[in-house]
Amino acid sequence: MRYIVEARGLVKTYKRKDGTTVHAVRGVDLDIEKGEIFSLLGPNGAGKTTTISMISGLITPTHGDAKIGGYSITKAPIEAKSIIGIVPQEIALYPDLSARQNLEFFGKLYGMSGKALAHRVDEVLEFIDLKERQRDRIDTFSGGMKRRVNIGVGLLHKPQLVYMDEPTVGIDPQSRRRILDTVLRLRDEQRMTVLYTTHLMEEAQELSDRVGIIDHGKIIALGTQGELTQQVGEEDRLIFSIGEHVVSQDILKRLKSEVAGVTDVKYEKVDLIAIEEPKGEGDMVVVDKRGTGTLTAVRSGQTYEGVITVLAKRGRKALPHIINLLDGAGVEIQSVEVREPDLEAVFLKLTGRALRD
Amino acid sequence: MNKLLTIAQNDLRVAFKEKSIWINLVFLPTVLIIIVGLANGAGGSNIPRTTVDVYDHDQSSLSTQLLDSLRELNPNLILCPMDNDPDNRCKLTDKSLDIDTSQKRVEENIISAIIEIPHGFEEMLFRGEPTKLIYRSDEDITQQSVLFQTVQAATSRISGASVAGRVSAYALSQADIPNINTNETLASIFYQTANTLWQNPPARVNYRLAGSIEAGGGVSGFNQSVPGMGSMYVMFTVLAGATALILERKQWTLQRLVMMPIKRWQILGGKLTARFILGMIQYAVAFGVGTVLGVRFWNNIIGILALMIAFSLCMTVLAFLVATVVKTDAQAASITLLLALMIAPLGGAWWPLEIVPDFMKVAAFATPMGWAMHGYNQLMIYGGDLTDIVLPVLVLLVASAVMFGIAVIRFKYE
Ligand SMILES: Nc1ncnc2c1ncn2[C@@H]1O[C@H](COP(=O)(O)OP(=O)(O)OP(=O)(O)O)[C@@H](O)[C@H]1O
Ligand SMILES: [Mg+2]
Repeated sequence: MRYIVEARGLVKTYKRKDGTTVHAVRGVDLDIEKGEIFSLLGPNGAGKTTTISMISGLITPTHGDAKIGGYSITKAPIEAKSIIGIVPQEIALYPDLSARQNLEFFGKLYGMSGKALAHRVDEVLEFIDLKERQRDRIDTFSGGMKRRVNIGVGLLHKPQLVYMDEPTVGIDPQSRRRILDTVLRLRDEQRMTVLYTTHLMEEAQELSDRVGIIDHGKIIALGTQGELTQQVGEEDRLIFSIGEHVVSQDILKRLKSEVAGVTDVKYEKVDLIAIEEPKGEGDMVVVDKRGTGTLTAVRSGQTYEGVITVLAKRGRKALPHIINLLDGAGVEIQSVEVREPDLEAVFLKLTGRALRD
Repeated sequence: MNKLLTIAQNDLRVAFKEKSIWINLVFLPTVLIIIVGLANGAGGSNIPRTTVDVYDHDQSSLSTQLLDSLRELNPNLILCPMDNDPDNRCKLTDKSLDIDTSQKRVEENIISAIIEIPHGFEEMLFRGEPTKLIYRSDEDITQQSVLFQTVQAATSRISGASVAGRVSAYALSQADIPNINTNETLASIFYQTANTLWQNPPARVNYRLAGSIEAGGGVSGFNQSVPGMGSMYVMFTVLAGATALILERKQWTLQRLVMMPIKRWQILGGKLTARFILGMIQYAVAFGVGTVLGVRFWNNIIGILALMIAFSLCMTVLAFLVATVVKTDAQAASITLLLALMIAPLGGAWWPLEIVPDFMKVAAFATPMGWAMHGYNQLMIYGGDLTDIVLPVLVLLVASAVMFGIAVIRFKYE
């Protein structure tokens, strides 16, 4: 058996009180190979959590079924669930209990007891590096520490398969780094299969053997990163940050028509989240671009950053021409970034939107 | 089963991590048991007894029967002069008792009332002719009504029995049985039979009066406040389970349990078991306090346990039902508080149901609290036995089953 997860025709439809229906997931097929890290990449509301909820037996699919290690999640839920370790998107822990008490409780429910349980809890605490704080209540932990305990619970019974639903949401860059390393170690040291969901292209890119891109409840592309980026051809992405400057549609049109190789041009305002207090008016502060973890320095007081994204074949060649054109139009370029074809570009091409929209 | 208990144990552990648990579980109930118990007349060991002058002009077996009924219905009653003792508790003087003296005794508050049984009382009753019992009093309303009710209860027991006797006699005479020829004899035989029947439960319950709460050895206001405040706090403690359940869904621990290899009934069973146990712990605290305060209930422990179990179960299921109706934990908290504050006084947790107006009695039996308190009162105040709580326990269990059925269908794990 090559696949540990085989999902067929998964559909989830919710009925709202006002009579309208929400198509959270509209027909997902998914095969996950043993031992791989598979990422489900998609923007907020794409249907990632709903999909995971169906293949973990939390909610019943409106249509379709999934086999986990050969067991149907709807017909043999107990057997199927025993194979899976779950790391939910929420911190699903008892805040009043200590890290150890949480681990012990869930461990007992996985059928462990006595010395074996104590030993396994020790191992997991070691793995998530929280041995020192094991006796402290969860509600005294930092966001990153809570996330690690949340992961630890999912690993207690040494599952063959781990679902991790956006495990890095809302934490600082160091904690994120740590969690990404943990995911890699699960595959490389423990030979676990990981289904990882994220809305961050960088994470999917770094971790995955294969990626499924999900949008509006459908998987719109699936394959290795190489396979996926091939779909967008060899267009590069040129990203110009221009501060609080607003550019006219006219300039965007001119970029597309006048510069050789340019196939698409987009302008967007990106929210900035300051991660340190500005020292004085006009000083530089470090900001997190929309909570993505991409850090930039900008003048304090600036609330958004104008970004022009240009898709161009042989981008490096087009670059001087674009700069000239923008310069001539009075646009002050603060930074330029040239990106080879990546998953973000794939998403953009398939949906016409950026992942973070 | 094992997993169910693991979940129950964990829920109890989480409940006891709550800082306010000791205040709610022990401190407040204890304080309220004492305050409400005292307000209901605990500690008053020298209860004023009710003295009545009696003129039995009939001196028949039926009039004697009536006086016995009076004594039995209200052990607090002293019938003078027949019940006088060496201490002269009737406060008789050398002068012989007559209506005028008695009248003065009423005015001077030495006695509460005068009861006169007229000549031919028995004969008239057996013949089915209307007869009168004379009752005079100028006591204050509440005292009088308790006494008056006793007299009424005793008379209706007597006349009820005699009516039953007459009806049967009539039926027999129609059947023309030769060797019994007078209706009178027949009526009196049947009277005996009917009266014997009459004295057996369940009819007996109808004649127990609020006035007798303070009668009998060792019965005090704590006999009301221990089960009353105990049950009210069981409501608070157990109904908090609705909030806890919704909170678990909000913090996703419930969903995590569902995604684990555990059957759903084990998860739900564990959560409900934990709440039920908390309810029983709450009762144990209340009755523990009661023991310290001198409330004696061990002779009825089986009946009391049955009521505790039935009521805790009913509240557990109610908490579950509430959790399927409300959306947020804040809503759950306010609705359960409202429910508890409404149902407790209505159901007789604060004062005995016997002293509330009839329409409120009816309302009381629309609440689980009303049935539970009815049961506790039977056992702890009126000297009832297991047969007196069969109905309350059954009602609570049936209500639990119905609510559980609805809740199970409505409940969403995710
Ligand atoms: N219980 C529900 N009732 C109604 N609509 C729902 C329900 N659960 C999810 N949805 C809707 O289904 C869609 C998919 O939601 P889902 O949580 O799966 O997205 P997601 O990809 O996990 O998003 P995020 O990155 O924000 O976690 C959303 O539009 C959401 O509003
Ligand atoms: Mg999600």
